[in-house]
Amino acid sequence: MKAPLMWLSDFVDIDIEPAELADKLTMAGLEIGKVETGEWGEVLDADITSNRGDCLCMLGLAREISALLDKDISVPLTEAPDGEDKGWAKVEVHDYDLCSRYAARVIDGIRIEPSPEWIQNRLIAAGMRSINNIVDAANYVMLELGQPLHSFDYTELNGNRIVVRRAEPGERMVSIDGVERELDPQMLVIADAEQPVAIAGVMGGADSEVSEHTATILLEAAIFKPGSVRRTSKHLGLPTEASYRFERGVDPDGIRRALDRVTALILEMIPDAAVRDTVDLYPQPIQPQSISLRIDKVNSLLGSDLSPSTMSALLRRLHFNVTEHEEKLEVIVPSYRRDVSIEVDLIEEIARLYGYNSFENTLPGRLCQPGGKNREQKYEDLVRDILTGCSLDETVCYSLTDRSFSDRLLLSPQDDLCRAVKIKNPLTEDLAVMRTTLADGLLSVIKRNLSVKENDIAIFELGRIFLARQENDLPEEKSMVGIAARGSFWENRWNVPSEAVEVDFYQLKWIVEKLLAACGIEDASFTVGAAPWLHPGRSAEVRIGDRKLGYLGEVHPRTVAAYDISGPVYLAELDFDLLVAAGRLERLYSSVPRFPAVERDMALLVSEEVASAEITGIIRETAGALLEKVAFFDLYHGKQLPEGMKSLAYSIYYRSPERTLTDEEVNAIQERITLALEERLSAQLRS
Amino acid sequence: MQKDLLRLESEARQRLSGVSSLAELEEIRRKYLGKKGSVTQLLKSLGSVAPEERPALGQAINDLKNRVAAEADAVMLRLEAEAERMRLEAERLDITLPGRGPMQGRRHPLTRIMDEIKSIFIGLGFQIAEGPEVETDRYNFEALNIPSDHPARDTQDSFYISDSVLLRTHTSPVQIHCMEDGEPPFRFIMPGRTYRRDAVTSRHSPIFHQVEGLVIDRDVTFTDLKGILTVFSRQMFGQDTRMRFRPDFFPFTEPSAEIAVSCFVCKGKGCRLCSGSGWLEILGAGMVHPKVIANVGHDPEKWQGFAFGMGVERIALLKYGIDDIRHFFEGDLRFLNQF
Ligand SMILES: [Zn+2]
Repeated sequence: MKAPLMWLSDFVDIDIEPAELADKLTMAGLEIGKVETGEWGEVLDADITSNRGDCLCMLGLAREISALLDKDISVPLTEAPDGEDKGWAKVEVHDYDLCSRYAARVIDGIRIEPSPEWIQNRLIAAGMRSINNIVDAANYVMLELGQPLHSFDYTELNGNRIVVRRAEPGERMVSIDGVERELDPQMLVIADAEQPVAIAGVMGGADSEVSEHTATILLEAAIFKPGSVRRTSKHLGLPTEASYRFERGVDPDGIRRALDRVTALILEMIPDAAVRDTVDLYPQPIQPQSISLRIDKVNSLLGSDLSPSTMSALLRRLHFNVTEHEEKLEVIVPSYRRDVSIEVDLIEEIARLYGYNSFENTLPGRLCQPGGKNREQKYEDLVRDILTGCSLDETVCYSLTDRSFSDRLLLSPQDDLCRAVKIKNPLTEDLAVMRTTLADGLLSVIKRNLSVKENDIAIFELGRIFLARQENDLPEEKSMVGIAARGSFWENRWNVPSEAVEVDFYQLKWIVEKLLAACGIEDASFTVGAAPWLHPGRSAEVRIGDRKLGYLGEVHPRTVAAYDISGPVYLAELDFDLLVAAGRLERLYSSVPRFPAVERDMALLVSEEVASAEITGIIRETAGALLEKVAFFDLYHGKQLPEGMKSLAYSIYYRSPERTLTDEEVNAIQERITLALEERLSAQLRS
Repeated sequence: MQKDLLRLESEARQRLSGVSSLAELEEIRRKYLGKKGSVTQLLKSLGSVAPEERPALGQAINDLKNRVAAEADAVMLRLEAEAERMRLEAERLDITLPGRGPMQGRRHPLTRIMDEIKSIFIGLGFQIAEGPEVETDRYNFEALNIPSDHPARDTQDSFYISDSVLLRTHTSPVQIHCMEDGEPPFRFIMPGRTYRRDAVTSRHSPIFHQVEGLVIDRDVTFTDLKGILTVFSRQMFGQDTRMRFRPDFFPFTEPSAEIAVSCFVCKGKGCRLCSGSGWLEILGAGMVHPKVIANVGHDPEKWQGFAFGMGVERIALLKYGIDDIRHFFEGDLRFLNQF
């Protein structure tokens, strides 16, 4: 809100520099964005928080200034006649729940003219346009006293009456801005004998608007329920100066002052005008609110040592009426302070005026627990440590995406991952559903980097996915670890053969294995087949027991094409929650071997269909307790081999914790292994 | 005979001093010390010497032999050292070529800031709590004393899933979960992802991160709030950081405060980062509203405390001098590789 200093000075004597005043107001919670110097002097630009509706006017700001400067506030009394012609103002209020007070005054002898220059200047300085004398007078009083006012053309009101009621279903009205508004029964309207003539607290109707022919007006000053005005204004998409103030609360005791002030202005501008009649319907006047303020409560909440007299002095400066008792203050709240209703509101007022920076800094005395991270949070750190150590950069992607992600990922409509949570009011179609996999975001990051010629991309994200449940249920939220890579993990690769550094399935698998090992998971298995967006022959599902941990593999060429990127691209995604559940970070020492290992290499010729895991499985089964480990070291396809065959080579390590093994016993085991492999897989030993 | 010996020794020494290869050295060794070498020949010729002269002469020849052999060994060491030097010289690398190896991955700048915030608060005895990103209206608003049709909702335009389910607009609902699920005292920070229906611009992102904090105990005060946040800010922004607390409005705290730290670039003089004010607004805080404590089933007459919240992106933008919030979410490696 813009507040010209000259206007504020009507109410309070301001004897400090504008910049200092702005700082004082800001430090008391009324933020002054800037001080502008215009044609009519300095203007404060105040950013008023939504609890301080009382400060959306000159009088309200002046009250704050009077408290800050410890000066008196002077509100000039304006008097205006009520009129003697009973029956001119006919008002019925049907819905007092939404309109606690309605005052109306009929004035005739009106001549519509431009308003005098001093009014125009003040309106412009405060950021408003000048329209005509009647509208300007109403706006002037709203800016000055905070009470929104409306003037109807009296002769345009059917039956010359006002009915305050809820709108009928399907009722319509053209508002002053020329738009036809559809109303609903939750909205309060001001109607005449036949139809709505204003949307209560929001905007008047075009038919009853004051025009150049208007000779008689009905002035309205009313109190409408904040929540109701807000709802109506939101539904109609129609925020106005009036609705903004009603939403934030208007002083119910300020009605007469505002009505008299605007009347006086009109009578001053149009000396021939005459007040005919006034009604003021206020069946249940609000009672002044009294709050008990406990002295020790103030100090125990603020950590302060303020005396009762300091407290009451501060509150009195803010125009609270204070009576001091032994251990408490009885405080009567001014009617315009709609934001003060309980003890703690008063404590805030004391703290605010005392100055937050005048309180000391302390630390809470009692330590109630050790600080620290829980199990999940420790695993988050671990995952980040391992994956950055594996050359992956961390990314943070939007958790919202567009609806067609499922097409790009080749999901069938029955796929579980099509259970995307839909946003009812998306900002754009790009952010219309919540992600059900991290794959989509990671592939988009690859696309972005390729478009700027960054071709070596190795990234991960640790984030949540969301799967819809029933309509009003909260969705399922799962934390996932996603990995994506293409190109090379190497920084400089000069003179290194590219097949050694280009990402492939096995490099990706190595990362997954590293992560599993770091989490202490030893029993994960890799089985064929995974997600629809992966190459069916180059992907694997990772399982822990019978639970699916995730997948890894090369991205399907059609998905690669759908993201408009170039492959091969590799993706992995693991269920973080399961990783945490299955993981084990505790470590147990086992003694360092005292006797040497015996190493034997074994190259095997097998059919292409045989999987390495079958071979190592048989080796482990057959070798017995002396086997230490089986390490794969070579895969060979080639012309020297028979059609449909491949060669796999393993180093097999034997060790005993008690003695050095002899060649004879190792040879005997090797023979048993060879025999078993030959019997079960028709594997032949290559020399 | 003695003369012959002297001449032979000086001749051998002279030739050894001129040797430049191991082959040449072997040749000389053979010529003097070999089976048919001059010195060996001299020994063989001892038979023709008078018996009484033999011991002395024999001794002299043996001494000569040892001296020449020692000299030859010395020459050999010199030659070997030289040969090694030559060989290593030939293996010289261009040490100005770049190093080679796998890249080091990096944590995201938002993670780095979060890690820093977490570790400061852990040191102050805080635990870390998390909660769902999709919330009911009750947790996101109602329990926090933000009823529907309250103007405070203006600043928190939300993405809705249904009439009563939305993407959380702040991490404050985690406060409600923590207080509902446990018994005071509480001392938590609550980091997480939050959503507001703001268009994407260089300053605003519809998806962003917050860290909230909550301290509830029997006698936690406003001065404790000031103390904790001062300690935090000085750890985060430097020990010479100055603090500015001023009143603000949040429906779930009372009194409420907006907290600024002195600009760590200009130290308060005013610069572009702080828009000339010398201050950076980084935290919102306040004493937890008694209605909020009552809403979660605790007695506000027994328990009191404070809550605070900060935007992780905002702190990262300030600390790293980043000019566009979109960088955080685009995954551009040219951006990520700077951290
Ligand atoms: Zn600065």
